[in-house]
Amino acid sequence: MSFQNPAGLWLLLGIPVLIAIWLIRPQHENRRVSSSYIWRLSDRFMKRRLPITLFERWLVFVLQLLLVTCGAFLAARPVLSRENRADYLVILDASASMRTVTESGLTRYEAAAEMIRNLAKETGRGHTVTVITAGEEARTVVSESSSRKEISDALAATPCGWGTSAMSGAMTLAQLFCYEHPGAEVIVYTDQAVDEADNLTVVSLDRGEWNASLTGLSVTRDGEGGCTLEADLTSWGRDAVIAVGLSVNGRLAEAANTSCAADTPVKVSFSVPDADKIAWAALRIEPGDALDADNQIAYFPDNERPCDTLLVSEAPLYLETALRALDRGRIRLSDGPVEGDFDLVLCDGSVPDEIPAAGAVLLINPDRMPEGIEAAGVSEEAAGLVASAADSGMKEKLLRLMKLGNISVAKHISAEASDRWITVCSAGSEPVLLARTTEEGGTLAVLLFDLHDSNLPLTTDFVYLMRNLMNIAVPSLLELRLTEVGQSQRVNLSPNTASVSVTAPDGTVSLFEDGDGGTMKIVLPGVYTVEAGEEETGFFASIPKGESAPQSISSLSLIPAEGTEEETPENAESGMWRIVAAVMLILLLCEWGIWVYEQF
Amino acid sequence: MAEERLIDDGTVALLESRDLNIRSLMEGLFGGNRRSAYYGSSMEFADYRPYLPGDDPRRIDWNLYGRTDRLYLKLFTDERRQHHRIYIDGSASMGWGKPEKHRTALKIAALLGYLAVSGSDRVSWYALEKDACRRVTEAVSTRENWVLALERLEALKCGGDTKMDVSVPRCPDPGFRDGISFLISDFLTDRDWKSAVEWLLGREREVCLIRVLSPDETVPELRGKLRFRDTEAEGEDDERNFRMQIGRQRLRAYAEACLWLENDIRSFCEARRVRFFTCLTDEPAARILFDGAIRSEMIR
Repeated sequence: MSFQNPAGLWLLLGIPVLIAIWLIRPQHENRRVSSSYIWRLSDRFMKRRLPITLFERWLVFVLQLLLVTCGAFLAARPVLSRENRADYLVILDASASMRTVTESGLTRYEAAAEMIRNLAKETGRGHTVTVITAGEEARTVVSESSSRKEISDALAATPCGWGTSAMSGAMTLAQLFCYEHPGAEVIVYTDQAVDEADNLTVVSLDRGEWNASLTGLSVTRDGEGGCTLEADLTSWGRDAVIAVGLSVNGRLAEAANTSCAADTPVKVSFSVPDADKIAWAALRIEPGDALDADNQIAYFPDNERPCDTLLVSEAPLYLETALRALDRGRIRLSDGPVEGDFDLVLCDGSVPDEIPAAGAVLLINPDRMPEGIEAAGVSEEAAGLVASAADSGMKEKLLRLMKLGNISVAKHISAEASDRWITVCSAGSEPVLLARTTEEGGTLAVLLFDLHDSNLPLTTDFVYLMRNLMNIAVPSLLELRLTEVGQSQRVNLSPNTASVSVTAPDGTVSLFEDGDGGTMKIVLPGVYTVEAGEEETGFFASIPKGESAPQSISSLSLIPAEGTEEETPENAESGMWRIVAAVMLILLLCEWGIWVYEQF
Repeated sequence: MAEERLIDDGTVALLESRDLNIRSLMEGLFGGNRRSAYYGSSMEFADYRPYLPGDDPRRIDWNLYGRTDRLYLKLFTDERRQHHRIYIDGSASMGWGKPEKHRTALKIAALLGYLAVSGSDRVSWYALEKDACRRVTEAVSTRENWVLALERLEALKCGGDTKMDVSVPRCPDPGFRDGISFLISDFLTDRDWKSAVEWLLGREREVCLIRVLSPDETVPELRGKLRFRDTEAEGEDDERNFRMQIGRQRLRAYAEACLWLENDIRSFCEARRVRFFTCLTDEPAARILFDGAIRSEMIR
């Protein structure tokens, strides 16, 4: 046992002072009484003295001695030496790269878990081990355990992740732990190179195992109906000749050897003559490297879904031609009221009595304004179309691939819109294309000029605008066709699709039935199969790109808790002693109080 | 501050209707109001006896002669004057309390004396000092002399260790079968005061014990480690000076000892038809007499 504040022991000098006071002070006070006869007589009626009452004379003195001693100990802040005891905090990297297989046949994660189990063997001597895994999120899997079995079971029940490493979150938890346990030893098991580590020990699990990865898949269509699949092939750690194969719809279509310099990405590309016949295609490296999860990458074509369109116009010829050029399903013409369910409704020069709430609706040069827009006359000042400065998803969707620089408007309706409307583009300072999302989730857009008063219909941008409207009305089934573990995948339901099921690589099925779809978190790499009615497609999730390559962390540091430096050499625990001393003091006071009550 | 008078007029007035209660027939001197064991010339019929030559023929009961044809004398009780004696403990312990127990004892003694002279009796006061019994005044039989005797009583002081078993038998004029002996003390003594009472009873006198205590003697407010110094101790080494730790348990034992002592005195008195009561100094003298003395049938 040692003391953080040895000067406090000077208070022990109070003990000889106390003894001196007890020796010097008169023990008995003289008291004159009329007669001591009854006092002497009272001896006859005294109860049998308990053994403890023999100490009555000294009880107060002993209590005072103990109080002085306790006070001195408290002031000295005693600490209990725990040379054979330590708190270990283990941070275990659970990122995808930790699945790299080592020479021993174990993955890096398994090797680290084995090291922790070996560390836990010491728990029998009073050590405690806390394990935090740093996977997609930091999580404490074992808290201050001295049980080897508990630690081993917890590690066995915690598999390595497929995503990145939340090392910063783990460090935050570690910092909190260190505040509560000054002197705790922090050990980080990771395959990431740590350039600088303060107040912790880093155990590197990167033994330079060779890994090859396929990343960055892109598909380019040529003008003859074919396409080219291109990806980055990288050999990490050494030069290598790697065999890469292309399979289309599950059949090996082509294979080739590619020479790779160490750590330098090489483009590998394969051509497929008939792109429309590709249901899915995959590039795959011949197995043999340490990490298998990044050896494959797959492509699923993003086919546009049919869009039922209603065109309401007195002179629909041009608009119909433009829509048919897009070849996106059925088109119906009408010059009267809107009847039936359509994904997209275009009204040229008119406004239906009841504007459809679902899907998308475009009102072109409406003869009356929908709710929230006030017409203020007609502006005949020619001006170019300018995209709104406002940053909104609606604007991005409507103007996707459009170039407004050459488009101008000769005459348009001057109008003011309420806050519910988003200005998509303007002519001069006045809005000419407004849009908003309806309460039912549909989209309502208003074009405030006659197509005859603009050169917009004469450009390809008009076709893009129609296509964008169709994509809004019938969004793509999947937002991403190539994703990574940790990202979110949006699944869209169209009015014609009752439900969509997504089957993960491990066979778990996620069903989307309600509303307009939903979002799912990608937790496993591989091919996800998607079924939407008769349509069957999919998407591919790879491990995060950085997990394939050796990674590094510039620094990992912990701020030592206050007083840790003094305590660390003995790995001391002072808080418990303070509590014990305080409790002892309270007990003594209580005992004294009881004695005083009994006596007086 | 001048000390208050021993007896005030109001208290005396309250006693006018009271009298000492004498249970048995005493002897005494001629001229009193107390029925005696002798036949005399009072108005109270006592008995008949056959006529003898030489008897006063005026005392023959002629009615009885008519019925029995024999001469009988009609006898009446005689009334005698009693001589009461009041013994006052003058030990140092009687000087304790506020007011002092001794002063309360003097008040009681004075009032008892007044009751005595009111009943046409004589009264004497004796101060018990160490192993002596000193007469305070000559016997008093009139109220005038009683008033004069109060001055003598007020001049009495207390001190030392009274040995009642020695001093009471040394009374110069203890009397025999002629009244009541009052013994006023705190009875806080190791001495054999019971033998003194036995001696008084041996004089065939009625005996009354009055115990005077200070309130702090019944419920002492003492705490902690104390070295008792007994007022009657003779020197530092006297065994009545001793050390004691006073705590809750000791106070309980003290209360039990007080109760035991009180019961001991009471049982001793009851066994001998000795009247007894205890009073506290914080009670007025009149209340002591009207409460304790009447209840114990010392006065009526």
